[in-house]
Amino acid sequence: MVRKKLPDVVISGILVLTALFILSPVLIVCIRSFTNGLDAYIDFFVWKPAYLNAMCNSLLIALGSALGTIVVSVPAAYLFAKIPFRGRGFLFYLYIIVMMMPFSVTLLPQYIVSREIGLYDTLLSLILPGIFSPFAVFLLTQMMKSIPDELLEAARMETDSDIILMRYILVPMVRPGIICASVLVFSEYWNAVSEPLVLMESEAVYPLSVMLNVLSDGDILGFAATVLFCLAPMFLFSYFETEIMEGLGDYRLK
Amino acid sequence: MKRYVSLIGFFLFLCMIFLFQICGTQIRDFLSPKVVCEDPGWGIYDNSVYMVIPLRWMTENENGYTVFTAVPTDAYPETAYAAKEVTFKASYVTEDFAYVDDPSLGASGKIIIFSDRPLVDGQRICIQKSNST
Repeated sequence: MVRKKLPDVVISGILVLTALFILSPVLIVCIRSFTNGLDAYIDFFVWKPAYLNAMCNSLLIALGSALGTIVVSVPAAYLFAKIPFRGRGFLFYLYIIVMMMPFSVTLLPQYIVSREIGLYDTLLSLILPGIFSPFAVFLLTQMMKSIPDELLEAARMETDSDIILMRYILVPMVRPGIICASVLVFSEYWNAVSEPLVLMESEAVYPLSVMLNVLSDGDILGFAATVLFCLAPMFLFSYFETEIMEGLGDYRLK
Repeated sequence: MKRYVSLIGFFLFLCMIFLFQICGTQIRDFLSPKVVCEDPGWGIYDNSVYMVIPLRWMTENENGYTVFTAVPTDAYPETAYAAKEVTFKASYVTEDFAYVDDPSLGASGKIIIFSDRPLVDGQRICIQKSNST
């Protein structure tokens, strides 16, 4: 029996309608933000400095976490993947356990520690946990484990320095994973709402993700702030799309 | 092409954010109405002390007289003033002056006697010259 196939036009139409349905909240926000022309955007940049300051805080927190995570997670992943030492497996499983914990479990200890060491109500109370993200270490460790040890042994004939091996052999090979991990950390801390509410108190250090909750319903400034809030991760994902797909997908050595 | 557009867009976005954050005070001063403020004088009329305000500083309407005053505002990170519209009734009016016994006017701050553009209540202003008695 020959199964009848829907015409391509019908399938395309269904897909377009579905896509419009999914994109409709974004389109509504964009269109509403231009209700009064560019007034809402001018308000955001000029006349409402609290929201511009919140945007700067968001950028500092997310970029600081993303860039710091590269510096910390690459050596840590190299250590777990390529340098045998006693307790390596146990320590790595601890990383996985911490990674699997819901954030609400670690939020109270973070609050207590940030209070004790004087980081409460500062940007560092969010940046430092972001830098030491276990997810980035886990992702890069798996990628580095896929690189054959024979490659490193051949490289050790030229140099015995682990730092040089890591920098010139491993890092170029796991570059997609590094970019993927840092972009995901950026996205996680760009959208953070609960952690800033717990670890911060004053409006001067709140990121924009928290300040958007302060805006009232129907406030055109809120729509403009939302559009601007979406731009940074959109640009990053657009630029690093290939690396993110590679980092999350097939990371076998080619 | 998409990567170049994304990179340039992100770079421009960052530059705009930090430019407006760093130079926000100067930009707001440039865009705000430039005003000149004066303190009202005091005088005695009919054995009572009144605030004396020249009529040319005020506009008259059905509710009385209206002036704009410069009041400090904490809506901005810098020290800034906003225009506040105050409506009051004058106790006595002469040819050039109004004698006012309204306590709300005295607490409102300096009176704006000149502005380079029409003012709106609550609008940020840039004080060019202010005389204090």
